[in-house]
Amino acid sequence: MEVFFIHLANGLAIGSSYVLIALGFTLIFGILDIINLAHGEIYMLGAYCTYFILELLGVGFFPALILSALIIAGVGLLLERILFYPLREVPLLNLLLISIGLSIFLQNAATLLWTPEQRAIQTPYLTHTLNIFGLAITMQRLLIVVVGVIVMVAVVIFIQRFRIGKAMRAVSQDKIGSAVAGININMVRYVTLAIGCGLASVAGSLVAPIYLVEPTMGATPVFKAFVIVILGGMGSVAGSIVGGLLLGVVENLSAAYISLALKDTFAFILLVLILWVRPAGIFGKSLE
Amino acid sequence: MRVGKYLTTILMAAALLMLSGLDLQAAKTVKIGVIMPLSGQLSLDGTHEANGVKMAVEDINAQGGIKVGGEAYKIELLVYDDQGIPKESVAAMEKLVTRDGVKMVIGAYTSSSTLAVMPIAQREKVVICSPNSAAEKLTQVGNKWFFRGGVTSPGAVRTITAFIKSLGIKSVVHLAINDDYGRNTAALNKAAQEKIGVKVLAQEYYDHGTTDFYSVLTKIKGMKPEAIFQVMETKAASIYVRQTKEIVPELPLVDAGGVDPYMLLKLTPDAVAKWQIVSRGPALDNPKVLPVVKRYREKYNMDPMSYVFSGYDVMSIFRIAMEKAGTVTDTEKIREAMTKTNYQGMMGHYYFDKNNENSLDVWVGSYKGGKVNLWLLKK
Amino acid sequence: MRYSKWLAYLILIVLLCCVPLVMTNSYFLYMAIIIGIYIIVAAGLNVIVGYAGQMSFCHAAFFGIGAYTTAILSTRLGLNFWLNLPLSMIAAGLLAFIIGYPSLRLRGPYFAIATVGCGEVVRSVLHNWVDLTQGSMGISNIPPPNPIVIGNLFTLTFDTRQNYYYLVLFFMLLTLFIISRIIKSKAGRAYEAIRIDDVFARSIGINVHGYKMQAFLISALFGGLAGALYSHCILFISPVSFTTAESTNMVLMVIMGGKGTLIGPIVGAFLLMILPEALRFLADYRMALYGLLLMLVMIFMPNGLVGVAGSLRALYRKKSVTSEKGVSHGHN
Repeated sequence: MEVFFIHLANGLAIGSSYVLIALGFTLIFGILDIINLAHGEIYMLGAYCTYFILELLGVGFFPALILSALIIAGVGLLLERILFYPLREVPLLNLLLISIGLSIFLQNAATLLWTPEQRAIQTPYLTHTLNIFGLAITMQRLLIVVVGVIVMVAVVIFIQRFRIGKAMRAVSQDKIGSAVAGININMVRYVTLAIGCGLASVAGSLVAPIYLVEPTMGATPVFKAFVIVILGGMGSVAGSIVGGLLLGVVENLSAAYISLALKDTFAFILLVLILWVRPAGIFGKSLE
Repeated sequence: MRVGKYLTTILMAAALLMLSGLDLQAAKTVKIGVIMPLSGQLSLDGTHEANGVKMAVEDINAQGGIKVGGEAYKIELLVYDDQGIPKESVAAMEKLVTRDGVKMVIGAYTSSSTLAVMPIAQREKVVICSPNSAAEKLTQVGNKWFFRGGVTSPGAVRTITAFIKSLGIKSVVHLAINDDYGRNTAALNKAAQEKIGVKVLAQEYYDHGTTDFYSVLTKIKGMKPEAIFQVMETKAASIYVRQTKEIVPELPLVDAGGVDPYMLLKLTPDAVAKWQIVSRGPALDNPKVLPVVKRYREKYNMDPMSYVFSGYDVMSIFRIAMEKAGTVTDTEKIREAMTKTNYQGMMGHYYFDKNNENSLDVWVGSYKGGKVNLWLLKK
Repeated sequence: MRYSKWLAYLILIVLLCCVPLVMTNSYFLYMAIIIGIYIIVAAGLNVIVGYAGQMSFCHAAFFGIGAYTTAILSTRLGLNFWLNLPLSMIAAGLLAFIIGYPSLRLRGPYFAIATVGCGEVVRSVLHNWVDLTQGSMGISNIPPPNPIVIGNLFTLTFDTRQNYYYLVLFFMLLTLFIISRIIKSKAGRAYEAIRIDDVFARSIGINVHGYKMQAFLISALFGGLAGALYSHCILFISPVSFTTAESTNMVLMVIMGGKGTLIGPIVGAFLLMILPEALRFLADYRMALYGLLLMLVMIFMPNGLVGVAGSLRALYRKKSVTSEKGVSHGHN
């Protein structure tokens, strides 16, 4: 029985990393109506950025993480300016396919620039292992959970209390109404993309010491993020948090009690069942 | 908007025109084809293997080329990416053989891709050799145009089993990648291990791209085996091995030959103490490979994986076969000469049996003293 | 007027039949066969994605079920290809029913993700049910289709690329013909209504769920057909060919060609098959450029290539009308 809680804890740990990448994805999706499948490559760029900052500047892990988040947030602003803003009228499916093209391009460009070889990031947190009620966990993994929780709380506070955050919520509910109310939609768009990309970068940087940095590292996480966002309800921050943790736990329990090879399958079965029963996701508004 | 439309149309038309392919051929060259995954999940290994072939070609051309019938033929190497997908491998093979006029092909990488292109080799009478595809099936389907250039799964199994015996391990859990290589290798090893009285408590499989092994490691911990037997590629192993240090630091981890020991050491030097090395390639400081290793380091700024040596060896074997047969175009003669191969390469001694099967072996080793130590197991 | 259209089609068909006589190169014939198979795929997918407007990302599952059904039946049970073909289509259709019935109640991206989930489950079954499908080791030695024998006069074998081309050509033309008939019928009009506004369509009495199911089923049937043809062409199949990435490629063919048109899928299939091959000369830069080109086409030609042709044509017409009748700009 004790083992069950260890599996649960493992699931929550991995779930936290999922939530980080899903949060950025859902903000962009909910507010800008963009399904950006290149979000995984943003995550990957964040990891590489942190790697290079650590290599070239020799600063600590956290300064590198924050610096790279700022740089990648800048990349987000750039993407908005040259890609998403000019294409804001384009239908959803076309944007999706465009983002797929971008994803292929970025993955292969990264492979050309930095070779397919994996890169390791050494942090002092990797070597310390704690033992909590029989669960062995390195500080790095714990860090993902801790930072994840801090970020989740920060995002929730931001969209509830701060003006721009409230503006973002308004835009996600009703664009035209928001514009009428005098909200600067363009500014909201920029802020959303900056925050979304910044979050992806933080996610990538946090997991990089454990999962190593390589050009295709973003392919699977973005897929999971998409699943989580649908599972939790589009544009719902609470949904992403619950969905991410739920996915991590389901995956882990399937792997532990059924089969590792089938863990993704069971996650998908869960997803499909939830969609069939509750089409708008756990926290989404009912559509009928 | 309009400019964009016209520009894109022009780009597309240009790309389509390129399909017809301009055939500028210098005098006295022979074309050799390579099919490898250069993009996608397998790009790391595929790139190394292709690089090995390229280096061999450079060396051969530097000495004047392939010397046949009083003439010297420089090699023109055509390297096609198949992304590790059989459908693409077939397209690459068809193009090489029927459009580019290639008579000898090095490839593919995965057994699935190699199986998909072998019928074409037979149909067009082209010699094909894969430097690493390991499935037994390849030499059992009766295609005499295919030669295996890398260690076979059964060959490696014999050594691995003896290695496990020498370590005194009596029970294991298998953790294998969920593809043809993983399932096949795990099955073969299970049979061999059970034969010598080692208990296989369970077999777990993971999909390509899995980065989280915590759940399965926790499960394995509960089963209390004496060791874990991994059938993995380097990419997953480098991530996995750190997690074992967290969850099961006391267990020895026996490799099946899929992991490059140098890369593992480089990426996770603090977590490899328990790793029992099985390497498909020799130590990098082995005098036989040192010159190639030095050049590779200079040229590509990284250590070569064993696939580099395999690629190099296969190209060398091709050269010898062509020169012995005295022709670069008569593939029947070249195939004949291939069957009589007797070559001491970097990876070992190459010779083929009646099914074009080789008898290469793997090295075993450990990480004592913080570096890679490899040796051949005496059986 | 109608006669010249039929004549044009006839000439086109004759030309297509002559291709293997002129292009004997096996590589070209292989590409032609693969393109033909994927035209069937894209044309079928177009029915649900292009006409009915539902984003389906599980088409590779139907393709895969079709491929595996015939592969297993012919290698394990030695059944005749001509029997396996309809069985493959039926298997794909059954799958479509299972996936579609609950999923088609969902709209937009929710339906898309549900199809992705179902597609992944199918792929996982193909990959992990090793006893049935041989898992990742794949099914090899798939025999070519059984020869058609008419008494002692005539035997048509399908073990050459030439004859296989004709087989695929036949089914491709059949597919295009059937789909064009469906589109022009009442069902086709219902699909368009659903695509434009499915809530409104329901309010005026159209059985939205029923027609969506129908479109989904039709697309699956043709997906299964294409899969079967694929199996007996490549002679070796494994689960890596039937992933969500493949499904995405298929959707790309429909969209880039021009959804909701009859020629669109043909152009799209042609393009997406030829492009990676044509770009081989770029070696290492190939896939990066491929991604870039994908983006450019989707950005500048949102209605697909057929849309470009359409707007060029409209441009031409407007000019000639203006010059003939001397009407000033501003009139349309």
